[in-house]
Parts: sequence; C-alpha cells; structure tokens
Amino acid sequence: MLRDITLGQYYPVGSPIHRLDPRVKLMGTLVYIVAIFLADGVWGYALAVLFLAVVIALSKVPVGHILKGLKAIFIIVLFTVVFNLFLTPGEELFHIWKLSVTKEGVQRAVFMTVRLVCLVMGASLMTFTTTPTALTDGIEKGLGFLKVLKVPVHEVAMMMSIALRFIPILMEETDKIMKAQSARGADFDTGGLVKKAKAMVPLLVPLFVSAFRRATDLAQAMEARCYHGGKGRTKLHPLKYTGRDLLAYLVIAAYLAGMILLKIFL
Amino acid sequence: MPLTLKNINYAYNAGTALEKKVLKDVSLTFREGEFTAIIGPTGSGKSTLIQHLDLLLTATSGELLFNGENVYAEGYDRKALRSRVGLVFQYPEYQLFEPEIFTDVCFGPKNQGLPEAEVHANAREAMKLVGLDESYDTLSPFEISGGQKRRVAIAGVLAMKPDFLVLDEPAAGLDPQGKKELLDLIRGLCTQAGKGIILVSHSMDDVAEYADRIIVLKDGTVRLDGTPHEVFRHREELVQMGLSVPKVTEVLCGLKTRGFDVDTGLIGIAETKEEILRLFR
Repeated sequence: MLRDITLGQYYPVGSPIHRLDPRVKLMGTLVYIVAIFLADGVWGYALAVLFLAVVIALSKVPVGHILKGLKAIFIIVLFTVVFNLFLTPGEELFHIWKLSVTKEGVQRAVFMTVRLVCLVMGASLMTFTTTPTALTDGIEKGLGFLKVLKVPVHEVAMMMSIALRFIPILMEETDKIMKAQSARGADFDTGGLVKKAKAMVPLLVPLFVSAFRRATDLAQAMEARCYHGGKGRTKLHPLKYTGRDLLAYLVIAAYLAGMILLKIFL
Repeated sequence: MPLTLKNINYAYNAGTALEKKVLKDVSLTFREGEFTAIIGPTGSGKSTLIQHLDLLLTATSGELLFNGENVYAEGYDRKALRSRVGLVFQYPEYQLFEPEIFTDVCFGPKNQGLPEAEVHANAREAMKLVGLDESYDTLSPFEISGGQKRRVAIAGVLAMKPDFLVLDEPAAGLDPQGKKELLDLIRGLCTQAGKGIILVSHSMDDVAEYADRIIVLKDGTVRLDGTPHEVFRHREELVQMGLSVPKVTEVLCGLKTRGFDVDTGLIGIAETKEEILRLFR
C-alpha cells in the first residue's frame, strides 16, 4: 500500500550520475534550484528543461518512476495554474462568468508549472541517485567549513541520516500495522473526514509506541558502541573528488552561466 | 469450507527495476480442523503467502478459492472473507492500541458491524479461549507481560470467529513455558473448536510435535507437502535448503551412522525413546 511512495527513495541502478560525489550532486541541485528562478522567458525554461532531461537520461532512472513522484505536488500545481490563469491582469483572451483569462495568465501558468515540476524532479533526482548515507556524508563534508563557526555539523548530519534512515523503517512499520488492523476489519479508506480521522487511531497509537521503542533501542545501541560524536571519527569510505566530479562541476558552472546570460541578453 | 490456492504468482514492485518474484505457481488446499505448518528458510515467501489468504495481498496471477468460489471474482464480498480467515502477524502485540484490553479485543467484532451485545459476547468468548478472565478487562495492554499481550492480540483476532486462523511465528520471543502454553492453546483451537490452523514456524521441533501437515516452501515454490513423518524423511533435502529435522531425528541419524539399526524417520520424543530402548532388548 505505502510502497508506492517514490518521492525521495534511492533507485538502485548504476549510472554516471549515481557515481558522482554526493557534494557535486548537492551543489548541482542547489545551483539548479536557484538558476530556475533566473529563467523569465521561453529560452530560459527551455534550457532548464533540456538540462534536466539530459541528466535524467544519464541517470538511467526510468522517467515513469520520476513522474510517479510528481503525484505529491499535483494539488499545488493545480492551484498555481488556476490562480495564475484567472488572476493575472493583462490582455483578455476570453472569460468564463466573471473571471477572465488573459494571455499573460496563460503564459505564467505554463511557466509556473514547468518551474514547479522542474524543481521537484531536480530535487528528487538527487535522492533517486544518492543513497541517504552518501547524502549525509556529502552534507557533513561539504559544510565542514561551518565547524569554525561552532556549528555542530557532524551532529546535524547524524540526525539527518538517522531521520532519513527511519523513513523507510517507519513506512514499513505503518504498512505492517495497517495490514494487521485491516485483518481485524479496520477500514482506512471509506467514510467521511471524521470517520477517517477516527480510523487513524488504531494505526497511530501502535506506530508512536514503536517509534519510541526503536529510538530507545538505537540510542542504547549507539552508546553501547561508544558513540561520542564526530571528534576523531574516521570514515570507511572517505569522499574524494575524481576527474568525473571536476567535469560535472564545469558542466554545472556552464549551465549557471548560460542561465545568467539568457537572463541578461534575452 | 476449504481454502484453495490455484497457481498463485506474486511479485513485489512488479514492472520496475526492483521487481522481485516471491511466489511461483503455488497451489495448495487448506481444510478446517487441520493443523498445517509452513516452514521454509528466510525469504522463501512464507509471510507473503499467508497475506494472500487474508486478501492483504492480491496475486499477480492465479486464483484463490474459498468454498469453491473465486475470491478474486468481481462482486465477491472480500470483507466477509477477512472475517472467515483470521490473520495473526508476527509480534501481534504491537497492534494493540486501546487503553483497556477488553475494548481492544472488541475492535474486530465491532468492525464486523455486530450489535453490541454480540460484540461483547464474542470478545468474552475469545478471551476465555486464550485463557484470560474478567480480571484482565480493564488493564492496559502496556502493563501486562509479553506472553499475555500476545494472547490478547490473538483473542482480538479470534473474537471475529474465523474458520481459519493463520499465525506467523506466534511463539517468537516467548520463554519455553509461554511458548508451550501458546502452542497447546492453538492445538486446542484446532482439535476442540475445529478451526483450520495455518502456522508459520522456524522450529522443526514445534511443527513435528503439533502439526498434522507440513508444507515446505523455498524460493516461492512448494517443495514438500505431507505429514510430519513424511516430510522429515527428506533430511538431506531439508538440510540443503537451510532447514533441519527435529533434534530427536538428528539423534537417530547419528546412531544410524555409528552402525545402529534404527528407524531415522521418527520425529517424536516418545517414539524415539521406544526405538532406542528397543536396541537394548
């Protein structure tokens, strides 16, 4: 039932994108997200879509799989489209009842949809191609310079990796409890809002109990193995840049430059 | 009312890179009043199989028949089947959620839509079946022992009055005493209450002692199906699959290789004792 949620789950295939250093992918995602806000014309968006398409093709993650993750933002996109369509002032195309659709509105609705879809696809592509461990490693190393400012980088990275690690576990647990209660005749799907909310009690109580139990177990296991934070801790697989990563940085820089140039000259 | 699986196939994540075939052409029939044990190494598809019996998973292909009727057919009352087949998961105590034990046991029959008097009567009967009296009614499920919690959870399923009771390793994590009590209780549900029992287990000794029939599952296919005596004659095969035979059978096999003429097909403690004593006569 819950296995269908794809947003942010690692997709295990081997590809050049998968093999990139997580820091490159983090930086790339960041640049991509920022750069998409630079786009204000057809060419800007076209470049952003093209760039994303090339990266998706390289990543070997099936497009259908990525598109499934878009279900989560469908409502937001719908709202954006409706509001932009009807509430943008400008040259009127036609009107329904008292609401008028303008040429500018159509354009903005299309651009906003492309922007949202690119944002989500770009960000989820990173998690599709990077394991949670690699991701937190990348964050820890990439933000290491903040340690000078007394920011507890290691602790934050550790908390993130534990949180990420727990998502599939809790998802599985939810699935299990849902099944167990369904076997006792619980019905999670039908009925009004109140009935649905009430139906969540048999699911949430055991889930919370088990989440606390797991947290305690993990804390004890960490202490039993003398975990004491990041100081003096070494890694089994330290992150190291290779030629491939350098190349990727150059591509990202070129993309950013391209977006800026388009913004200035078009 | 037999429960029959016909050429059941099932794959997780069908159609993606993560696709994993778990059940391959499984055909089986379960009957009421029969104690069936399912054994197999980890990952052989046992848990997936039993989830099909309660319609929590739907086969990719194949048929599930209850009393001769195809459950997958359109218009079949699936909710009714869930009442006929009770499923007890591994560590069922993790599903308890009500502040009081009795209300938790009432959850199942209440979902069946029975009138309140009947709900209470069924819950009371189920609690009696698992050996818990009225004094437990108002206790919190979080203040009783692990073995008792498990009884409460099983009562919660029994309260729906199923014809079949499916249990996934019901004795896992219990002490020897609690384990014996629980298995005796399940045996009683089969013999006295006439329910069909389907039990998944990793303990060869338990299934040899309690089951009428053993099904061996490996890589999603049924490898062996027969009485405990029949199944445990295939010692080599079982060991190869990562399973074993009951301890007493191992003893007899050890005696055999040391040159004693004993029957290595025995699985019970009593019959093994007789066989060994025979050597001295």
